[in-house]
Amino acid sequence: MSHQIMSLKLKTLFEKNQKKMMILPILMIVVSFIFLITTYTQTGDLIDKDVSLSGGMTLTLYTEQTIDQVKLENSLKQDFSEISIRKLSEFGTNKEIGVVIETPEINEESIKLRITEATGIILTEENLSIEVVGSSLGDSFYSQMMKALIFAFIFMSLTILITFRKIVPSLAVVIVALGDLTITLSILNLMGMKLSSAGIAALLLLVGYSIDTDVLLTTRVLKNREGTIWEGVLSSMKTGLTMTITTISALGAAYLVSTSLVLKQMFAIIIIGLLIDVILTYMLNAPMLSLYAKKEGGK
Amino acid sequence: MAKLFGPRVLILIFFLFISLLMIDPSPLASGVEIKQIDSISPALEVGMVTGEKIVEINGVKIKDLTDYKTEIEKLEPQPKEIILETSNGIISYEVTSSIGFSVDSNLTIIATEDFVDIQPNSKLISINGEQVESPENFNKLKATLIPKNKVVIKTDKEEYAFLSSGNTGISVQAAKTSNIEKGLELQGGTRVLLEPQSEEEISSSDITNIIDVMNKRLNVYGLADIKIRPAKDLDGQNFILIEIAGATREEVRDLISKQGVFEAKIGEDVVFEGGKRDVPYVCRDDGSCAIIESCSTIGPEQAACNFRFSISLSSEAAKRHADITGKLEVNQSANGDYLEKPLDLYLDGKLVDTLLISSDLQGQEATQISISGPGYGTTEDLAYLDAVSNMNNLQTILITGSLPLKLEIVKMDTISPAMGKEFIKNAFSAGALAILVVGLVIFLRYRKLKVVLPMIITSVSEVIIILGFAALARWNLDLAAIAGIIAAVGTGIDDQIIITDEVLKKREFSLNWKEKIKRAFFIIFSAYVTTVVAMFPLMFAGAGLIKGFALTTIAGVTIGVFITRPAFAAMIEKLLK
Repeated sequence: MSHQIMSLKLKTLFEKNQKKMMILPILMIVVSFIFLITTYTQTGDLIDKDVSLSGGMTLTLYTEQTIDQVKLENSLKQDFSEISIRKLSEFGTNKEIGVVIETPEINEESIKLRITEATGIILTEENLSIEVVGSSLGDSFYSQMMKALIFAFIFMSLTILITFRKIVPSLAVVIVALGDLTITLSILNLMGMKLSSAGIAALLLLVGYSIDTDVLLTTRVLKNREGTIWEGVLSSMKTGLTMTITTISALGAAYLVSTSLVLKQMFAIIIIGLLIDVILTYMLNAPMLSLYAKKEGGK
Repeated sequence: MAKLFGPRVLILIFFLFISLLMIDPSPLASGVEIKQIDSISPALEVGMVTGEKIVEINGVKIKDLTDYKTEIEKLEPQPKEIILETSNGIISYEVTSSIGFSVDSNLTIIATEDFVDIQPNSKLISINGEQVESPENFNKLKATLIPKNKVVIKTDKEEYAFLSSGNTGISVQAAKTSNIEKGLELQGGTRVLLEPQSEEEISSSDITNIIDVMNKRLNVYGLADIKIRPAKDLDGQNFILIEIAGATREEVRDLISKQGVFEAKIGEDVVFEGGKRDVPYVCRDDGSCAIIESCSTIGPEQAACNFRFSISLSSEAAKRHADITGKLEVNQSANGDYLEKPLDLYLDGKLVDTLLISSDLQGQEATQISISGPGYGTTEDLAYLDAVSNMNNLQTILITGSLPLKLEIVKMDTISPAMGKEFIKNAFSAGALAILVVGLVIFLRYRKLKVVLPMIITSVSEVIIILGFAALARWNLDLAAIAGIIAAVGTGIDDQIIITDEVLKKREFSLNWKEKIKRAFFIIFSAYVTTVVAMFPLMFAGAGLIKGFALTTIAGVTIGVFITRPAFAAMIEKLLK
């Protein structure tokens, strides 16, 4: 019984407050837009780029020896003005397995010397991985990824328009996807996360997942509706939330276990984005569709 | 079977079977297999073939690469000190498997290896106090300096025995556990992204040429397992992506920075350089002006051949030749009259050959020049092959000389091989955990193992079929591809949830199964198309480094939509009906 009461409550909540509940997601989108524009005018970029997009070196040193991070940083600071050091640890045991060093300045020889000097570890092909990206390539990578993101967005919007052949519902899907993107980007910026090229690919995947739940919603409410509009919303919410929760749990588990920083970042971005997508899909797209369906003569 | 599952499940089983066949997993594979055999080597002579598994060397069982290395090192002779007396002084150094230089018909030392520090144009006088009078004499002496040991190698096919002075000419690898090509992050190695620099527009044939030349050059240095491929980005900018496993960062940088600069000098003056500017024409693949000649046996297990081909010099280079030779004296000898200084050919600053200049060319603007050089081997056939390969290298370098385009290293990644193994282990445990978590969430939602099991089976099948496809297409499985597999399987699970819900939905009116599945697949198909169009631009962005991600995702969701998800729908239909 309580289940029924709950669902009845949800129903009245949804139907009475459709317009009000759209305020939160719209506000989030507007704020994130303003935030991103401000960031852009201040820094000249929408995101904080890591070395794969701005050029620089990433060195991963694998060692069982505990590394004195402060000492290492001080030693590296003598030659490199900007340096970031992160520890790598094994999941479960929390055993340290190495460090990742990033710097936008490219000088392999001197960084190797400094590392050996500070840690006493002799660097070999076995214990050290080095990735170097020239700054011109980093720049072109960034603009390439951004272009790909814009193209992908346009293609996806066209696909949605062709699928539903209705302007308002298609627009709603695009607004939600765009909102997911801007809000997630703003959160990443606030977290101070430096985005890699893989991170941008993750944003693209996120847009894909976001569109999936919206297509589900639009189909159940407009195309193949069984019962009332609310029933359509509720059934798609059940399915959509199961999808999102499964994805978030699987990626969350993989995030904890994975030692690859590239994959970790991708997982984190998708998890954050999916959480945002839940709010936007069911608090913005659902009421929009419901109002639209009513106007079109539904119940 | 067909009755139990229906055709869609049978199709899935069929593809699973094919994929396993493609992947050909042999997780228990151990030992060492032959990856490559040098074209001039004792191993090739006795008929060893790549792919054979080495079981024993000189009676010792070989279980892994370490065993192999230990046994091969035993074959190497003890280093011996030798003393060389040359026209430019006496030097001494240690030799193991190679003496480190060779001589031309006038006993001038040529083709020196890095460990031999000899001034150019030195004439060999004696080795360890023994006078060297002729090239034949030198070859005999060389044979005594580097003793050969008998090697018996037993493979899974046959037993081979030959004499070797350390270098057997075989490169090996750990026996493959599957047909999947492991990319950089999984096996370690170095990846280089090169950007050709040019004022003019770069055509795709320019890129093909460069790749061709680089392939030849990198092979000249005996590196196996190199992948070179062109890449482009959305702006049409060209790149060349090289992946080399098992080479150090320094080695790779060295190889690429070596532009293969060819210089022909008389004394200190450069007469011409390789490349179109000075050498507009190089005779190649034409028996009338590029030939192998005078093959002869010069000693026990020693044969030599000579190659000769003609090149044309530009008028400027010919004029330089005239100016430089005009100032030289003529030496008269029984073999004919030659100029006092020869024409020295340098490759990347290393003397490779010395040609005597006939006196009638003095002060002449010679536009036709004949280039010659030797090839050696234990038999005349092998010497012939060696001469052909030496000639090819020289021709390639003369033609391409200074590459038409400068190549700039814009990205260079080296991943330690130890980390590659760690990465695979990690990917497996992360994948297994993710599947477990998915199973748990699905169970909590539906409370039915009848839903959980088909879902797990479908997802695992999806991974296997993607891997099978990767093995078939010889795709590099790297980090980007793994991210693509995760993306594909992720959307797969979403789609399976949509199917399950559509099937389980309580309805006021009853829909038949076909209609339910149709409704589910409308959503799935729309989602599929949006994913594919989203990934499409990524295939062309990022100089080929992101391509693997986009391709794997597209392949994965396509396999999912057309093979595994219909099978899942069929399974669910059977189990829940």
